[in-house]
Amino acid sequence: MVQGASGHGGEVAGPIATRILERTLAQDEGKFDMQVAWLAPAHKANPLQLIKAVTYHDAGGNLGGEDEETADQSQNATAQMASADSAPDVEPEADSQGKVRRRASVPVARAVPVATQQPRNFFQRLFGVRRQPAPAPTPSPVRRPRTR
Amino acid sequence: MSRRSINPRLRIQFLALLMLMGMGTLGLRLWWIQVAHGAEWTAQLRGSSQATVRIPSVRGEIKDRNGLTLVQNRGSYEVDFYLPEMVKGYRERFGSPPLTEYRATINGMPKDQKEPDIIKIVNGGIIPRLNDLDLARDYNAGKLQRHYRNDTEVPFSYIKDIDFPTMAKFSEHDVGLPGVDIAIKPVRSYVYGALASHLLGYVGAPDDINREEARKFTFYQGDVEGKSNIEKSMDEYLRGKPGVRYLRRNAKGTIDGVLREDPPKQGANVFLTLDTRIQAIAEEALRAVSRAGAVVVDPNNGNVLAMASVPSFDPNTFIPSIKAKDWKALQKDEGDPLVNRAISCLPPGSTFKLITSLAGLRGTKNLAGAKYSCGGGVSYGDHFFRCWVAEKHYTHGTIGLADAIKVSCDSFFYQYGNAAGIQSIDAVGKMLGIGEESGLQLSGEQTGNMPGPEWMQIHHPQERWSQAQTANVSIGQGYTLVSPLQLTMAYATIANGGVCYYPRLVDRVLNQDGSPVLDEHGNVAVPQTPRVRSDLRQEISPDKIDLVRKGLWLEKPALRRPPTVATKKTWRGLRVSRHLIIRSMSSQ
Repeated sequence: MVQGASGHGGEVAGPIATRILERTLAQDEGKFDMQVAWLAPAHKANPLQLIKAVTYHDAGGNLGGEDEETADQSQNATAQMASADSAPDVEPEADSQGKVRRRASVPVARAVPVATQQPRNFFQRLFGVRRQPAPAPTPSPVRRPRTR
Repeated sequence: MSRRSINPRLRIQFLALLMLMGMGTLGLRLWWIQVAHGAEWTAQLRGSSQATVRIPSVRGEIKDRNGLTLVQNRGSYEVDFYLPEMVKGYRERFGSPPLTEYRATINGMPKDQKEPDIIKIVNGGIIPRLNDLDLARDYNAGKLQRHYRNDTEVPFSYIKDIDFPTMAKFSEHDVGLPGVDIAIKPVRSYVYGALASHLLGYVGAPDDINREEARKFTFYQGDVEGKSNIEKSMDEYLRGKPGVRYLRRNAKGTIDGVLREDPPKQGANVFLTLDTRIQAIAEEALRAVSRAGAVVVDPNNGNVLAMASVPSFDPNTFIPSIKAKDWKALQKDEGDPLVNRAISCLPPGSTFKLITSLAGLRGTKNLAGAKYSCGGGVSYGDHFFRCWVAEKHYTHGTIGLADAIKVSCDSFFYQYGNAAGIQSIDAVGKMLGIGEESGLQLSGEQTGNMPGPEWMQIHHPQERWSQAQTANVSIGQGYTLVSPLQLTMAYATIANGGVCYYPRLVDRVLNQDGSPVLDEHGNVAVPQTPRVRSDLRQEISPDKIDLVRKGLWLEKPALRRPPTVATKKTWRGLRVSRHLIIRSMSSQ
């Protein structure tokens, strides 16, 4: 069933039913393998736009014949739509009292490990040997601009 | 002298004896406390410093007929506020908490009441600490206060479904706040997104909290419940049994370990009759249009193999709860994505001519050989009912039932329907389930209209039933409303030779050990046998049913012009349907 079709059944609902039946039968016969994957919600930009005809790019053209019954526009019954009347668990938006004033992120001073002097071992203490302080790192040579 | 004569060895032995006696006394006392009265002390310890946590139950999975999982569970972390603990913590640290006034109705009389201002407590003592750790989030303060007033026993979910880095931050930094805790909960995951979203439904927080049960636990973590469709109709089977975790509290009242745990039990798995691959085929085909519904059933047993509707929605957006803006967007969508068009009722048009055809073949009515002429239309009273062919400047001429089905002649069915009578059309319609519920228990299912004189008297008392009304019903117009599901079941009845089954969507419900779920009488809760709604063969002979089927199988020729490729392509669907019917009949 297609809602909002301006074309007749053979042009709109027919091709859809055909595709479903053909693919289902082909799958049963092992000629077609429908890959099941995650589906995004089906949504068209203008859902109330009337549909004249349905064609599938990989199924050939679906040309409507002139000897077809046209869609009837004189219905006087109101459609009964199956809307889910259940109340979901809706998360309310934050109100003024629940707004959190975020503090500006202050860079946290991180502790830097310092190389501590190793204590003297037993023999060093016994013979009075003292450790030499670590030599200061040699500064990198300063590049002087070349003079011609 | 005598002192000197004491043997030093004897002294040592005496000392050793004294030590042994002392050690023995200590050991005896230890045995007395630990072994002889151990149970007594343990009981005292448990009674005074034990906290219980309700572990939410894990729902069963929903699978298709081949065992492919459509709905499963995943772990979700959330930050919960145990509000009474917070108030208690505030009282211990700062004294009496700030109060707020609200108007309550007690015995039908409005009265001003006071309660701790939980918003001030949270904003003053909890949020700043969370903000320091960059874990604070905006929340609805009004909901928090209402939650404290009405659902004190249940924790307030401050942040739901937190991501791993946030959870790691919480775990890394001991927030050290009373009543703030991270809970892991099983939440639903709809594996294929929007696939079969109108069938599976979604879950949410329960409307009512079982307060009696909640009071039994120190910390209560509630279950979710099915809110729509299969999740709702199969809720009693899908729900598992909750577990309990017993926590040990130290002398300061803080929890320092787990004593024991009774794990929750997962609910039963529900197997649908659905074939996910056929469902995917149907959904892919429907995406060519904006609003449509389709149903594929097995005519041999009424099993629903696919039921699709577009536009659709992703039920994962409802998990664990839908954001207000997303809910508004779904409701405001012009395409109504929440509507299941496969069970919505619309005027069926010419597809209803099948029911009219059967009405003329029922019981004493024998219009199998009747022929009526089509001159472009028929007059009833002062109204001329046109046949669709008149617009094309043709006529169908004088034709019989099979040919009338083949060319879908309106003029034939105006006359045929009146000859059969509205009572007979009504009777066949009801036998095929038109105007009645399918029994699938899908949310919002519409029953449609099977109009007749009695229906008219109830719904439109100012109108009088006439031949014109019968003519309108005969071609599926007027007040006639039918859902794709109802129509599919009617056509499946013709396909299988006259047995109208109730549609089946749930095939079986199995416990986690694979055994079927039983009801209170020890019977299988969901039997796998198909249910027969009616048997047309009791009122219509099989050869007459076959006549209608023959009409459906006939290929429609082009009128007064040679057949073209276009005509063949247009009616390709009918030929495929015929093959399907033949296949289903042969398998039967």
